[in-house]
Amino acid sequence: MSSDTVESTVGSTETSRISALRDSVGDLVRQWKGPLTEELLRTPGKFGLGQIPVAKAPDATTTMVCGYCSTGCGLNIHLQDGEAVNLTPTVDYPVNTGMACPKGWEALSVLGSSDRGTMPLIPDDHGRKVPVKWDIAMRVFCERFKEIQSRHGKQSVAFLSTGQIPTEEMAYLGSLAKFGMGMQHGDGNTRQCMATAAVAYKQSFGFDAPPYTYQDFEESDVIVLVGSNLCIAHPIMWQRVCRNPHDPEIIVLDPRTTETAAAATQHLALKPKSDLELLYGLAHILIAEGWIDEQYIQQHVNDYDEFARHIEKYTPDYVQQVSGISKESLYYAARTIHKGKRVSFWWTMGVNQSYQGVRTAQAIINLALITGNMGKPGTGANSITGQCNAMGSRLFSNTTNLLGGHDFTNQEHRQKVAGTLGIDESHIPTENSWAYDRIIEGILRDEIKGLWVICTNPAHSWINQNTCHEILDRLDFLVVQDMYHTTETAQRADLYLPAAGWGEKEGTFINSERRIGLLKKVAKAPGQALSDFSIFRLVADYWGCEQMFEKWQQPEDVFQTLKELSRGQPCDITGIEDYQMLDQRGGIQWPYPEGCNEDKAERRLFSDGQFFHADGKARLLFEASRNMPEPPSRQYPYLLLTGRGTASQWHTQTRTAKSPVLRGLYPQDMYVEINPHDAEHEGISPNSMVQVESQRGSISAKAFVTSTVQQGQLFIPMHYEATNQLTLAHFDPYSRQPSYKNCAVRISPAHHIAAG
Amino acid sequence: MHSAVELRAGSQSVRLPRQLSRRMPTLETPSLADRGLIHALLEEQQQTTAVERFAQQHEQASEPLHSGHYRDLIPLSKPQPGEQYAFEVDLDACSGCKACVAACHNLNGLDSEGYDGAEQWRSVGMLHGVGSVHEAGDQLPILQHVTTACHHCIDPACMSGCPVKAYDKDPDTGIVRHLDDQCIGCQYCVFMCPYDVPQYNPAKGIVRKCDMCHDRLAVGEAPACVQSCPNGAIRIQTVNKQQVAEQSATNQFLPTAPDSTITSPTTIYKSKKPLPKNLLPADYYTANAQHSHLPLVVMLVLTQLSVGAFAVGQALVSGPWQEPLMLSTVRPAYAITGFLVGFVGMHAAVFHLGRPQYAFRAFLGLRTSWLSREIVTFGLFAGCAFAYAVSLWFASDWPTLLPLANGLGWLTAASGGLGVACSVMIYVKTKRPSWNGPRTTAKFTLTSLVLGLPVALLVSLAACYGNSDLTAHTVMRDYGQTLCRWLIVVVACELALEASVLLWLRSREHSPMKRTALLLSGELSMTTLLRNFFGVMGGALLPLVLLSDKAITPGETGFDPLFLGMIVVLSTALLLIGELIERYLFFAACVSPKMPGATGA
Repeated sequence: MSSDTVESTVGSTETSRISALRDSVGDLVRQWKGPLTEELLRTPGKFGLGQIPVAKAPDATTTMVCGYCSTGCGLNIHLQDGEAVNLTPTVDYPVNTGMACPKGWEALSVLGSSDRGTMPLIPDDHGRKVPVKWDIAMRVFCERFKEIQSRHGKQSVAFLSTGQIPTEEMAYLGSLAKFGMGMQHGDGNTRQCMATAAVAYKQSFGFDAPPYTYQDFEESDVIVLVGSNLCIAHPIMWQRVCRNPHDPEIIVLDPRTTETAAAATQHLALKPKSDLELLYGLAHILIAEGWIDEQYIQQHVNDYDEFARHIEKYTPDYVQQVSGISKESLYYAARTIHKGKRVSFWWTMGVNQSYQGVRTAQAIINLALITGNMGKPGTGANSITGQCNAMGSRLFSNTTNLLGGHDFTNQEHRQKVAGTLGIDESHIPTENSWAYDRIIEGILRDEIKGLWVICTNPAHSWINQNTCHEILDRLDFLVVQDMYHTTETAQRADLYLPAAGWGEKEGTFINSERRIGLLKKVAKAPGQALSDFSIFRLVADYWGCEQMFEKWQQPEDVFQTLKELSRGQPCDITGIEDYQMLDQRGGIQWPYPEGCNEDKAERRLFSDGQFFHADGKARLLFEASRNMPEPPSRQYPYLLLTGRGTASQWHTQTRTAKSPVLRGLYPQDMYVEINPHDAEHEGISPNSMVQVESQRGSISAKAFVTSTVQQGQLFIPMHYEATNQLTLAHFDPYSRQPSYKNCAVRISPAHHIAAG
Repeated sequence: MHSAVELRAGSQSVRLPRQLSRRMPTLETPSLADRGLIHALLEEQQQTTAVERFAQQHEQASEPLHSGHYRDLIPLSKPQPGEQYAFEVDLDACSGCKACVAACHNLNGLDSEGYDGAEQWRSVGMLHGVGSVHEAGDQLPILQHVTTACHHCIDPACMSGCPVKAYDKDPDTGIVRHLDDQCIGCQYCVFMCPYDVPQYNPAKGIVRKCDMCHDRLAVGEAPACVQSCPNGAIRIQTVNKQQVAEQSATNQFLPTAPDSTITSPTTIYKSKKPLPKNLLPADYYTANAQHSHLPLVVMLVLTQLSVGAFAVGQALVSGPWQEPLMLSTVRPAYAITGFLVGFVGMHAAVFHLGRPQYAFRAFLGLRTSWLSREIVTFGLFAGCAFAYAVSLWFASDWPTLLPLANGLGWLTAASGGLGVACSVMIYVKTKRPSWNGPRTTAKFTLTSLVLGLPVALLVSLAACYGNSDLTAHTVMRDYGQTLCRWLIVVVACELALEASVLLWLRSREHSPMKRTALLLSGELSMTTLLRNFFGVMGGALLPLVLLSDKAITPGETGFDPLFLGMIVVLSTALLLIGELIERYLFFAACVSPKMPGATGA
């Protein structure tokens, strides 16, 4: 080695040292990189994810169905060591094709909330919640309920369940309560959202069978939405509407100018609860103009003549007078339906939560039937469900129906179920259960003394809340089983059981389009929280009826039983092998009977025109419209509408309020929407505090003055706890669903409360 | 007979309610199941099973699975010279679901805590109102959600305001990036950005903001918001910078949005149905008190006090009362006081920084940032003041130093004045209406005088204590009462100026100035009252006492010198508190124009 080289090496070392020094001084002065920059670095995520935050780069991914609404989106869970660290909507899931609403995006963040239950709790003499071991909790549970049953009869203990736990857990709960514990009465919070649609379908089609697939949103050339704010309540279904390549006419029936109404091509801003008349009015024009499918009616529909006679009196003039929609607009809408080649009709809570909801839903079904818009792509009379597993509840919760869409009062059905379950037929009640409202009334009448509430929050959500609270307080023993010990109902509990939530257990959900989707276990439950499934196993064990459910060790064991129960039913799923098959297929819609080789991802019902009544025909059901029981009066001159606030809020906010991201996306404080003319008339200035009163309660809220509500109407989102202090407890006579969206109130400025 | 049953739960024993325990005589012994099933179930609950039970479906995917969705939503080629990337929002497709906000949060790993809620780089507001008359003769209500993020402006105010060059506008893509490690957390960009884009995180001590997912774009992936919008409402476009600047000049950006001439925002809001002009943001009537920036409150008031004291003092010693006694006694006193107060004031500002250890970078922005200029100028002021004080100290022994001291005195006053001018410019540059040029200049100048006058008097009186030749009464006679008269005038002007904001209450339009007025007379009304109380007490009532003849009468019939001193101390203290409250209101009641907000925002 020559000395030159040595020198140059030394020189270059020197240079590099100097440049390193210069760099570090330079960095100190203007620093492009460093620890703070690194916090937000993104890296190629593999698994087809594209770039994702470095700290959350997964070592595996898996797809499961979302746990909020009934859309049933697939979420791609990012896993590190088997545990969820992040998620993205699944691209190749047939429901949501890579999209999710904010609730879906934030599904994981609510699991880590500090108010998750970690131990069973029992209040002491001072009302303080004392943590107790599961052994004690279970013994208290059994002894107390058994004691009440021995004193007041077995039917004196009832349960209120949910549309938000997996089908397998619902089935276990329903079987355990009714077959194992001898309860007679149990219902779900699905009574508050879907009962109307279920009854309407059952009566019209012969089975509770929403006929559609989401693809229909994309294939219609006319889309009629009744009482449905799809943009906000089901953003991913609205996505499917936006993907429709046929430039569809969108007709929205809604008293409010919702986001969906604003995006519609025709918004019929009808008077509240005049939807039944308006729908009959549409039928009137369609029939009068001969815009009906006579051949279809002849072959597939019963009771047409009676229906045609019934709607004679719903003339455009009459409907204009009742609904406030001009004859011209009505006629234009009818003509649009006539001109449409593929017309689909959709409804949500605006119809379901009504004192005449069943007949209104059936008025929609009738329109689809008489125009022959059924069973073909882009058609159908389609109920959009609320909760993620309301559809599972409708078939398998063993509340209104005997497991698998069967009938408690039918001896053959009882025999089949007993046989499949391997239990004695005598364990199966021969009478139907009371509906939710009758159970609540039963408490009032001292007929129900013990109540087990699972994954729902009646103290917030039940209609006429103040009375509901008083009634719940009359119970001898109230057990609440929930993820969070802070729900309004859990706080009133004599025993609280901590439940694992979505993401912490396996099972299946059934979405609005009848798709059975899979839930997986991607997170550990906090403390000693147990999945509802495990809690039911424990209860069975402590109650002493565990032999009855011996073969149900895992959720998938129940799934296998449910398959058998569905055999021969319209919802036959005997062709689905197991969870793995559901996983591979991106969920499977029912029916999927044994031997079914249909592998299309999206299927609809009634393509052959065969309905589930004995004669294979659908029925047209109708009834004279009724007046609302509490119309606005001189004392209470406004009609209060309630409903969904934003896409980031869900029901009683038990979960959505736990996500900081979601909290940033909705108004924290209760507000009431009021029309500018009414605001002026009442002396209410925008953003000021107001008092809203009904005969049942009085609440204060901030006024949001907007023309999106009509004069004479007010709107308050249901997510705020106080809303249901105002609502009037009245129900659809067939579905027993509460009518949340019409009660008379008055509004006045609240001068004593400072406006912020 | 036990009244309650003791149970063991974990290590803790609990007492069941009496009515419960009486019915459960057997609870004391654990049942058999406790040992087996519960244990097994609890253990099972802690096992995650998704990986072992189900096959990996996307293990081999090399391309991002979402690319099919966004292929048409990002440009095919990089921007040409004169062009840059921009967000384009199709308002007709934005249905207000806010998935973009949540997706941006998750896909970019933003913080869930440390802010007023979670960190959000995108937000969705709403415009509403009554639109065109529709066929049936009714007016059709309009509801329009608006998604918004950083507009990656042609002339980013965040960047020009930043004192440490923590912003970079990429020459090729035009993306305005924030250099997190360069940031000192002064939050001036938060003031400067008309669109409320930079988000300050107190825990980290820095701001962060949307970077248009620049590294995603670089490899042909779409930004998180573009990827996640169910309706494809957000896309990336290349825009011609010249064109954007021209369009900004005619304010075609978005109804109700802040004046686009300030920064020339590049986001394009398009709609097939032109938005009527009468739309209101959902938060139009909301006026919430803003962050008060306490260290800045202290800093502004004390630096202005210091400069004011210097200026008044300098005027005194060079005015009609120029006499050796004044020069030798009063001058060192106000020099030292002014220096000390100014020094404290400047250091108060450090508490406003999220990362004060990097404050030395503050000179980097001198070319564009008034904050840099303020820091440097006040640095100069402090240096001069110190040198001045030192020179006066030595001048008492070496009179030859006096000319130097005189020069330094003027230099100090001048640099102080410049510093206050820089302070003024910091706020004027934000283009917030309540911080406009005349108002801010008047406020800061008046504060200098309102505090400078009594402090100069106080210092003079204090100097008397060390000097038997000078008495409080002579000070009061020679110039003290003149100072008091001036003080009353100046305070009256100041209070009148502040009260003038309330005239905006009569405006029908809910402009930022009206909101400021609403805040001052509503949510902040108690504070406003207090501020006026302190102003009137310290700036009018107490000075009036000093205008009495007793203040200049020595001996029995006059005020005791100590009493005189106490009155001046009290007046100064009340005025100082009043000015601090005023400066608090200056920040808390400053409402800036913003992008449309959401209901209940």
